[in-house]
Amino acid sequence: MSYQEKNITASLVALIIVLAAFYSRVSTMYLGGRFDGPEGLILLGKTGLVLIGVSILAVIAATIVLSIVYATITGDAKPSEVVDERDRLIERRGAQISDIATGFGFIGAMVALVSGMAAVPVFFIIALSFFGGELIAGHAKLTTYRLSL
Amino acid sequence: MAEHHIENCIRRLRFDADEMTQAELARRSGVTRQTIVAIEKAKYAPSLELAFQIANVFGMPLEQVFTFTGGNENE
Repeated sequence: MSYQEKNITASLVALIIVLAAFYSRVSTMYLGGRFDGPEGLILLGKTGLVLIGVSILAVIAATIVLSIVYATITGDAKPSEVVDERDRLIERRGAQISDIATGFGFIGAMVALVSGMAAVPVFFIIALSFFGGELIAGHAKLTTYRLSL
Repeated sequence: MAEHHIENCIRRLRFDADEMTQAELARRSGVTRQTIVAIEKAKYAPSLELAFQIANVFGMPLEQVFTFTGGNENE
């Protein structure tokens, strides 16, 4: 497993955990009426900022932990951290896939808004589309690596 | 992924170079072993710079390592 593959795997694991935790917590808050009223949108904004911060920290932590676990299992104390032109190509393709998936999610959110859905669930859809885009892109990148494409 | 028309004889050249490992070739070319695997299988067409670097490792001219098999599509 290359350095980039390990990073992608760590990111995927971290994002899935954060996404599950976020939607579990936020759906409870939403059903409890915490986002109702004028203070609701402020809380929603804070929740979004916390989500971004937690996601970044979780990805960093997962990358470090996976590197340690991988080094322990393989006995390779100083694994290669080479990132080459093929890694960058796969990264660019992943970014394109992520952009497309996120774009579709955003359009879906706008359609939901036009259809009369409340702002808070639409925010969840947008957040989900960002995460979904990253997950799809990560999966596509790993598949590309695994198939040696 | 696009179909590639660049073939190579890296596997044979590694064998001739005292069974040089893919990892060693990768290290000397400045890329990952996975990239060497993909190039050997002709599933990834390297950049011109990397192709020159690989040829350089074997001390051979580029055209003796990589061959273009696509023909002239304008014909």
